[in-house]
Amino acid sequence: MVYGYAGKILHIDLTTGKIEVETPNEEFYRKWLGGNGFVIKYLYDGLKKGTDPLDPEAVSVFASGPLSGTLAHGAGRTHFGAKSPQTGLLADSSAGGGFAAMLKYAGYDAVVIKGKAASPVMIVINNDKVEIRDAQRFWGLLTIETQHRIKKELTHEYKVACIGPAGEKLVPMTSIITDTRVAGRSGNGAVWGSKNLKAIAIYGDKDVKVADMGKVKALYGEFAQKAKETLAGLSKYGTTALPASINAFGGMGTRNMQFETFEHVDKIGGETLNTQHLIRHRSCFSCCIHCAKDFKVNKWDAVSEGPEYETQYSFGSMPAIADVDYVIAADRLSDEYGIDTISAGVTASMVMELMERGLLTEKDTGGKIYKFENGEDLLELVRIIGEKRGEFGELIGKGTRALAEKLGGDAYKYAFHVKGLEPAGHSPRAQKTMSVGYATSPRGGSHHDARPIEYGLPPEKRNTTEGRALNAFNTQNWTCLGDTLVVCHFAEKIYGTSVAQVHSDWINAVTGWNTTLDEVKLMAERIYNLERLFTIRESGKARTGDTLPWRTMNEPIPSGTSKGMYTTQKELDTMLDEYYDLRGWDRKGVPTKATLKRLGLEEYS
Amino acid sequence: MKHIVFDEKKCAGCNLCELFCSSKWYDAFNPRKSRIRIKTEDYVAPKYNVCLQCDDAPCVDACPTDALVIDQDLERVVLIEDKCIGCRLCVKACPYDGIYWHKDYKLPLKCNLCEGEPECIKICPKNALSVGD
Repeated sequence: MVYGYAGKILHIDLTTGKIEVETPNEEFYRKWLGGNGFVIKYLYDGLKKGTDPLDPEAVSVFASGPLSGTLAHGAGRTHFGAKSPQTGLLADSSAGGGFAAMLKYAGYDAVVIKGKAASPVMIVINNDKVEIRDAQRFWGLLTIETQHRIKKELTHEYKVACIGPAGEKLVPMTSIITDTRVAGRSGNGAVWGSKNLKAIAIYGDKDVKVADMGKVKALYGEFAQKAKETLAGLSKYGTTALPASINAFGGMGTRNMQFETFEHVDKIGGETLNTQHLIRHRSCFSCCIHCAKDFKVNKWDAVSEGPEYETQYSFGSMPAIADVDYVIAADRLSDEYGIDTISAGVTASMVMELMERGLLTEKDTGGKIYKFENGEDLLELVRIIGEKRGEFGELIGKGTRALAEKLGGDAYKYAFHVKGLEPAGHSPRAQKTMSVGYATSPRGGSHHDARPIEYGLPPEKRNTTEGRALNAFNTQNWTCLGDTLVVCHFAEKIYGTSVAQVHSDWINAVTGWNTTLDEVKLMAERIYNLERLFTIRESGKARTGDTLPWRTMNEPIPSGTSKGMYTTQKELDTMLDEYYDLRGWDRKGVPTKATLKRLGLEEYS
Repeated sequence: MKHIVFDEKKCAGCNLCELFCSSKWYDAFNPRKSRIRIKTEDYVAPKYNVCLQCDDAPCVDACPTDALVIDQDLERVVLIEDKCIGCRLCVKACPYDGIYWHKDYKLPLKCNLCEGEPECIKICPKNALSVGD
């Protein structure tokens, strides 16, 4: 047994009901590490090229990492993955909470699911006992109620992950929920829905043993001390304080990216939330920072864990909602239906702009008019997506790309997506690291691949392509490794934004290996490259798919600190060339044979 | 007597106390081997369970071998391990769900206040734990 790991991977076929336990060797663990490493390995190998994401033969994976269940920062996080029904590419998304830690305590590192049950089921894991049980009685329930009812039947000691009604109805932009934490992006929920899988409940009482307990505690101690010194703001506000600074920076997507400053930013900001809406601070399992918050709606009786920054953007500044009660309510509603707040909010904002421009009319929407600034309209759009209500609800649940394709004409100009996934609230016009970062992310518009590291720089220092490819390369490798361990990127900022010696230290203290910084960097690159190969295999595109939204490349930011900034095709091409060189890919964006050999991926060349 | 006191308004539900407790006493990360338990649930404040070191302790009364005794000097209920036969009557007798059993051991899991310096209090990042009456 390798320290830190449970040593077992569970394979469940919902068609046949067959449950098998794989016991990988040490070489496997050291090569694929955990989290998104396991996800892409089982997905690439287990899913035949071109399989429909909602086909019974499609594969759904969730995984812990070597640090899960230990004292590491946010080491309860779970990494989920599948082929995305929204983008047709990789759907990997991680959720906070403690689900993966419980998986490890039950004795498993990952679970690989395929097949389709004949009727709704849930998987119940109690240490060595794994069962597929009927879940018809939970089908149709919202996510919080689902978890409460399952825990009432089993005991409250279980951790549960589930889908909501949207996932059951195969809405592409669906999430998986565990407690109040969400693996939101790119449609893992619909994949569970297509398998008739409503929920997974886990209870475990086994040990997670580490190689060097003293070193693990020392690493935690250093981390906790630094967190106290440098992340007090994150503890106090979570990420909700970001709108003020990102707005001042001139990168707060507003009115579907027509603007990048929001005049009512204070009304949806951290001070407003903390002084008028805060109920309590919350923490993920094994995290000393407690950045999550329960906020209440003041005008009526409702509460949500969140919004966090991305949702202040997608349900706040993007649809120009100045009343934060509606942002909180839309956040909770999305979690209950099991839909992604970023894709839902950005798509809702596109609907509002299209109606304003006359490119979408009441005929298309079933008689409704949806307007910017109107909180009720936003809630209604969330409801019709979540309930897949009518033809229009079904259409917009697919996201902005599908909406633009359906409408034709100029609609594509207002579709804010990369590879079919709506970007998070870190502007690719105001920071070119995010231009090249989004363009090359395996998921598309993902803020968990390249990270926005240009905040604080004045526009003149940002309006250059120099060094941006390297920024994207470094931060992508860093987040890739973090998703492998599996830890939290917010907390990780303490260690900088590149793969560092401390990552190797954590891995060695837990596993007993003697990894070097170079080996750990190679691990991240290996996993990222297999994700790239998956993107190329499933889309048939490499460089031609590495593009940005029309507005990002054709419309300068009209006002604010970042006024005039955008990214031209020529600038993107310059950055892509540099980026591919850093990655060891050819100029078409395909990993070369030499690169695959260097990364131990010869079998994939 | 003195025991671990919990402030539900401060606790954010990180469960780090459980990980430090289990690793201190059993050299493993395992919340089910912790002598303190934090129950977290969506949209309500966390709750805790731990031995409250009762003056009039039902576990002491329940123990058939006098393995649980009141330690007046340190103001706590202590387990004399040599005397314990692993019958689990103390686990059942505790009205506060403050004593636990794990299949790996032949003795109950019960807070002994870490011989005067409780680990959970030292490491709680929210200062939600303290010693009180």
